[in-house]
Amino acid sequence: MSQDITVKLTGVDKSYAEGGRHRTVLKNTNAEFPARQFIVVQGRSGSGKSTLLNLLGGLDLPDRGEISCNGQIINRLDEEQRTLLRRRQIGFVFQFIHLLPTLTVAENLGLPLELNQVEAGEARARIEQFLTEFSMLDRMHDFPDQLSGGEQQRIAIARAVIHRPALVLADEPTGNLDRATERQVLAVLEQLPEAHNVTVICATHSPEVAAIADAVYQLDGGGLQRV
Amino acid sequence: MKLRLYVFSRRYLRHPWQLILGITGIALGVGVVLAIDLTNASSERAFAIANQSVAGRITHQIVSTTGSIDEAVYVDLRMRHGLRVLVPVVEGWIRTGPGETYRLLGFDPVAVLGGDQALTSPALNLAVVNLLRQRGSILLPEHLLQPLQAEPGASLEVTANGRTQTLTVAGLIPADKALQSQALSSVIITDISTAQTVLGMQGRLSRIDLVLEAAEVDRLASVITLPLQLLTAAARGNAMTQMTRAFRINLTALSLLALVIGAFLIYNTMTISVLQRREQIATLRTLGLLRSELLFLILGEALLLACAGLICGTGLGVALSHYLIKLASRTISDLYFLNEVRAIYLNGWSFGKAALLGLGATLLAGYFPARDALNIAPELTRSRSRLERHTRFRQRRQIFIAVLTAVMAAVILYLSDKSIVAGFTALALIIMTFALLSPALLVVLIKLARPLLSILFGLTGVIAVRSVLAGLSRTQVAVTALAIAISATIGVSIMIGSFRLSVQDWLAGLLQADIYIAAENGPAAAIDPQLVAHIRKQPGIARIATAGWRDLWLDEAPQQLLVRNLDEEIFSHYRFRDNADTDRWRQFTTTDSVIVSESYAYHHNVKTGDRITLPTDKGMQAFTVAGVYVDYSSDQGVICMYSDIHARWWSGLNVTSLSLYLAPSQDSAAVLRKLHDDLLNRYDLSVRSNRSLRELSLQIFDRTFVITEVLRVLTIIIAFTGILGALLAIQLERGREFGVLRAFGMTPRDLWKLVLSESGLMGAMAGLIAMPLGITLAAVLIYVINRRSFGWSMDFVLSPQYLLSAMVLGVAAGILAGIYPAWRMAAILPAQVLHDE
Repeated sequence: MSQDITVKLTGVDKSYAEGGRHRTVLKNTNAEFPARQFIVVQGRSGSGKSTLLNLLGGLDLPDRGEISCNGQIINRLDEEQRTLLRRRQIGFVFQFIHLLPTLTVAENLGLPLELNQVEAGEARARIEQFLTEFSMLDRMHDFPDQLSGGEQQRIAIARAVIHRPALVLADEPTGNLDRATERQVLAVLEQLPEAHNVTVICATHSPEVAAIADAVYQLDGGGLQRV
Repeated sequence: MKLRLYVFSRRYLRHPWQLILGITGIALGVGVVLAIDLTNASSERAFAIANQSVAGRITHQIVSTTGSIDEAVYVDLRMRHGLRVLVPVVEGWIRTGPGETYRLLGFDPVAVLGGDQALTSPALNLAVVNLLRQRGSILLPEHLLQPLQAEPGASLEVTANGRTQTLTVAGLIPADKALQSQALSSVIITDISTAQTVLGMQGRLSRIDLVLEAAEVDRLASVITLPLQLLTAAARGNAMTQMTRAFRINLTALSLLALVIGAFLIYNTMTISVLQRREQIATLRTLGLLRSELLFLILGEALLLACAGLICGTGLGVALSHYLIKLASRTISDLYFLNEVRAIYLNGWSFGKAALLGLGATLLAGYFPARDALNIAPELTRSRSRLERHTRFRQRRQIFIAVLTAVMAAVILYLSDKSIVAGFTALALIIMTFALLSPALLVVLIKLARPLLSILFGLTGVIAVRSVLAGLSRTQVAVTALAIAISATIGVSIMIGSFRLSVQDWLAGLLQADIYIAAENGPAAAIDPQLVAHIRKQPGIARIATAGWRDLWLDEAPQQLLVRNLDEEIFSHYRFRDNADTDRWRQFTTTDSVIVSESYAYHHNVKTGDRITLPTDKGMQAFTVAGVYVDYSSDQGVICMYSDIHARWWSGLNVTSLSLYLAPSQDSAAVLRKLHDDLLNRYDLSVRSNRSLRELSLQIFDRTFVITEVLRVLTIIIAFTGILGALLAIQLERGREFGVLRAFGMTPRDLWKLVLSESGLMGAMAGLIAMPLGITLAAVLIYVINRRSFGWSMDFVLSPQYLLSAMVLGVAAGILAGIYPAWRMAAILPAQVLHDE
């Protein structure tokens, strides 16, 4: 399913009305993210990093401009088409993890495969492969509340790539973790582009994450600049 | 598909109480609807069966305005007109003991045996032959053997019209499935001659049952003239159904209210469930779940709840119907006609209706939360504060829709004339209006209450107020559901209270006599004229008023004519709705005039000065309406005529009641005792003082509303279940918050106080919101529903006790519902909930 993909932003504007005020988050933003790279977008809190990822993932629409994935203009797709794009082409890693509490570890991994109608046998094999790779095979029948924070985030990362997407969007994936756990999670993230043929775009203000990136961008005052 | 289902379904394994509460709401609502429908269906079926003939499926009946038919008419019809199936019937009521009244049905065994054998059954024919063997014999239904302590071959003493006679039990009425056997399962059968002797109807018949073909109907219609009338067989059955229609519609409406509250409970459960799973839903949408797939999941969940609720509700409904049928049967006997509905008629239509309503209500209730779930934006950061802001924005839209529903209700009421269904539709729209306004009202009331609560309860009060406001997306639904249930209770209470006061006033005005004597033995009983003459001569009795009833048939519908012999002073106690400037007494007693009850005037669009036409022994005759009077004795309406005027147009009338007015300074108890000892103990009469008759009347009134009370209690239980579920969900979501408070030094006792303050506050707000809605509902029930259902009007009386009871009920429900969540929260170990994992 993965392929060479270029994610491109052209003249993108985005602003919000919040508490009666109008806040511009992105202004005439342009960028092109090459395939199979680990890209970090840095910026202070409130600079618009999450907004940028929402736009890239088709979760939100820009006020102006274009966002494209391999030539396909995301913001011209209707809601259902964007949902299907997320289902097939994109994986997400959240700051607060968001594993589904009523599903076991194995079932959380199985959910993207079920949505993509992967055959049961193939799905089982893939789940076991990823759990082995992430050293969590013995936890496959546990529920998320039985795991530590680092273990949960590793499972979340596995969930983001198990359906072989082209793009992984990670929003502050280590924001809630201690230093030691952060290093474990970073080790997993770092090898994703090569091991799983994905482009990873990670929003963070952590210098440790930026240190392992192939490219670092700075989001400031609505503009995106490569550092 | 499986994993998507697990996301939602496993949640109930962790919180089974939410599942139980959700199912309970629908089960209770469906159960009540089914129970009422089964009760109504059973009553209707019993009415239809009661009027079947011993000859089976008849098509027509001949009755007389005089109350009975000369036997010669039957002979004439059989000999001259060659009618094929013609069954003379004598029927009346007999007593076998105090309070034991049964219908006695007498027919000609030869006519039945010689008639169309396809209409009877061999078992019945065999039983009928037994009647021919011995004079004065009867057939009993098997289930009466034990209560009558009788057996075949034994004697049975029966009393009718003041005379006691001994009959012999010749055999049993066979209990097969043939309809006529079912018809006969609640009567005592005898031959016609015995019935005539027992009921004092020698040479007379009650009616003649016929099976006519189409051509015969036209021929016979030209032959049968007043005082005889030819009615279709359906007319009598329809009459019973029609008489109780308003009563049954009101019961059905109450049951639908229970279903609405149950549906609200589902809405409550589903809404909170969606809110609690907001994060999971957003995650699923982010992972690529389509909106249509999400809608399918949520509605599917609602449907599964509905199915579980239906199964439980069906069992509950059947069980409840066995209790309700007794109450309904008793009320119908008290108010309309003697009847005994024993068996529940389990029919597919009732079950189907309850199932459809339950499923429909659940899907409708589940649709709105499902639609809200579709609007949950999949985004990487989700703000709870944005949800609450969205909730407040939605309130503005709800207020707009509320205005629309209020206008619709007003238009329907204005345009719908006398339709009861339209009245209830408007009532439903009014409830919807308040439900839509309730969230905004909640915000206003809480903000107004904040300073007072802060003074009374300190920081606890402040936290309670802020928590309810901050969690509006969750609190408003529970409060609205409880408010609607409480308002229904208040509205019905105000209506019943106002009605009772109106009835009390009416009784106080009308019942002026000292002693009342009435014939027992059910309808068409009579007081011996010699006894009446004898009582007139008793010392201490200043004057007597008499009354008798005549049953008329007008356009295939029954109409009661009350015939009174009274003086001007007694007449002056009638309260008239119109202030006509005429000498009403003179008009009533000297011209062809009647006075009509308010119900009659309403149902027949009649007012003072109009003319109505009645079938008399001498043909159709017009009478002028001299006045419309207040009367709560019959919702079908009564026409009242002076005895002298009656005598001009009809012959013969049984006096069924006497009102005795004692001379001044007479001791009514002593006079009563003397009358009883000297005269009355030989007759089958009820003798009551003024006071005891008023008490009995109010007892009957109170009994009538027992069934309403049962339904009201069930409605409150359903709503309480809803608020319990909502409070549990809300409090459990805030486990971490309470853990922080405990870590800061709040004791378990302080936590109890906090949780109960919040839940009590929500209950109090529900009580406050319920007040204006309850008053509005009462007004609609009094001025629209009651008027359209029964035709009478009453005063609207608002006592402060009802408003106080709303608050008490709300606070009590809130605090009770808060006990379990408070206990759970107080038992939390702070470390448990503050731990990240």
